[in-house]
Amino acid sequence: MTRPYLLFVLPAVALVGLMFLLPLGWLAALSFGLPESFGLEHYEAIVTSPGIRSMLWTTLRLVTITTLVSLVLGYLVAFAMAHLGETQRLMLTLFVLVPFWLSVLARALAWLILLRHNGLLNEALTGAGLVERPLQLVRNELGVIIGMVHFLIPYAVFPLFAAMTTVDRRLVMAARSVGARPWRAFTDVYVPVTLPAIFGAGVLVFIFGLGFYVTPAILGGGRVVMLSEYISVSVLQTLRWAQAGALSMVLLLSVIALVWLVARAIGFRRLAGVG
Amino acid sequence: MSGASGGALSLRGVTKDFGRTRAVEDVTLEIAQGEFVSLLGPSGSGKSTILMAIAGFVAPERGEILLDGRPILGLPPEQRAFGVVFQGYALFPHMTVAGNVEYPLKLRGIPRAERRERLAKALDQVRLGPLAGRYPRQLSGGQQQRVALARALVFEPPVILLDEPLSALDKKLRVDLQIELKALHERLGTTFVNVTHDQEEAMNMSDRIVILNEGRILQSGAPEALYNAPASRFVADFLGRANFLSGELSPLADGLARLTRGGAAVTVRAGAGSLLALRPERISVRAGGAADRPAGDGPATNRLAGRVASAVFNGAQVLYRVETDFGEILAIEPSFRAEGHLARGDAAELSWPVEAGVLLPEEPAP
Repeated sequence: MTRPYLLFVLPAVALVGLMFLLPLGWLAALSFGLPESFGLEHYEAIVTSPGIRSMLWTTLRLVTITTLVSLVLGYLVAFAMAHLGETQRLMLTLFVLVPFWLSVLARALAWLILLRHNGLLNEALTGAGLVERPLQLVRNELGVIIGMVHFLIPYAVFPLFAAMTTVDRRLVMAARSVGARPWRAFTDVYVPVTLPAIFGAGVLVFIFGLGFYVTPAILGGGRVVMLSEYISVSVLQTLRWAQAGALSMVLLLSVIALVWLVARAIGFRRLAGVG
Repeated sequence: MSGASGGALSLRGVTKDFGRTRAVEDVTLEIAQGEFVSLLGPSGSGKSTILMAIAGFVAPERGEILLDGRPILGLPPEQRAFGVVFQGYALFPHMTVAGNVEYPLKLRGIPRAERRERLAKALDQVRLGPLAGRYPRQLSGGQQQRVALARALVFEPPVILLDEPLSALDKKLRVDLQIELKALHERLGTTFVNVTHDQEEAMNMSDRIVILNEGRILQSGAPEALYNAPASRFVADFLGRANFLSGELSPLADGLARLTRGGAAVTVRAGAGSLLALRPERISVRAGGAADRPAGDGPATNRLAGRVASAVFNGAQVLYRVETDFGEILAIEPSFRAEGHLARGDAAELSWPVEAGVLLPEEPAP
């Protein structure tokens, strides 16, 4: 045996094969109507069924908005982290990371408590007389977006921060020295130089957003149904496994396509955060 | 670009601390219009900090910086608008050569036609015309350096600041670019302030060299004056090579003195101290015990006996290390003149004109 270490990864390979690839293959087979028949009707339904189309449109719209908001906020946080002193950087990193470590369920419930009709925020606003009636902040798309942005910001912050720490400070200085005001130097030089990272972070956030389940389920209150929840309902309640399988396949292939796209654009090693 | 486009800079008592370390200490310096001045010093000498203070990226704790008599410390870098060539060039990676060089003109809202014209002229000045469409990563180090230079001069700034502009290049290219840079300076008439740790580069290009160490100006002057009349051991040692001979000093007549150590004695011109600095290339090496030694050795030439510790031939020169009563002395002979090269262990006689040595104050070796 020339490479005994290969043995060490065998259990993991077996685990992935048995517990992930096998069921996945089975799901793919189901989506084509196997084993009873073979057909593409469940894929057709994705395009033709008004219910599925509207659900997909909601998903894409919410994930796109979430991605844009997360990128803007994440860019600001990453910029602050990259340009603050050592102590402040550490504090900020901690503030970004702590919610990251909390269960997504706990976070979604916490937002529900904060944002619901008689929640903290609405109590404060009505109490202060700023609004007459409580604002509708959860059980709608706004609530889902708030929850998702909160969850996804760290995924935007860290790739952006990593890229910003490698930006040569002299680039902005060079722009200033030839006559650019600070804001102009930022938009003309700093942003374009960090653009690959913005793109990478954006796709990363988008991919995570596509698969969101818990947050939309809780903060959407059943009114905002996104892809994962639709699949879950199909599997658990309406028992349309084949349709769920087809949707899962579409989701999987979209994610693979997106990862491939970014890998082509900025290199897989940079996307993965190594090298 | 007219010949009178240069600006005059004056620095008065400029002091800068980084945390508890004093980076620049009370630097006062006048730089004339159109002058090429090099700030020369080892790393940590404060030379880059001074340059960045002129450029506007470092705010001094104390002192004043004036351009043509007007204080500029209150102005942000973009309003000072000096052309800066940064260490590592800091070219915008997402812009082409043309984009980089045109950027300062775009910022000034110069119309497209004029921009094209000035871009072409600037690229021409640094001989980069054919590369206008390339990106920085597609250029060699020397080409990148020229793009940085073109970007710094395209908007005709009164002063061009260079931060170690050639340090990343290999030696041969460096010498070529030194000559180019010097020629460009003469054509433009712009004031150039150059920061370097390379004494050869400073001497090749500068009208004046300012030598810095530990945040202070030690000496400033034309390259030749500094080289021939260093005021301190540090300057003598940093600018070129020097031997330092110490011994007992006793005065003689006519502004001369005698420096004695062990059985040997040499004549020196009286000076500020008792340490004799002597350039190696001023010392001649002959075989020792030569019979033609003139009797009544005149005071104009010193002779010192020793033994060759090492002889290294490097092409143009032969470097001798000779053990004497004053310690080991380095002598450099042009190799065509080094008659029948001496070898290790040979008896040797060193000689040099009295005026070749300079007496300096004693100070600890750096």
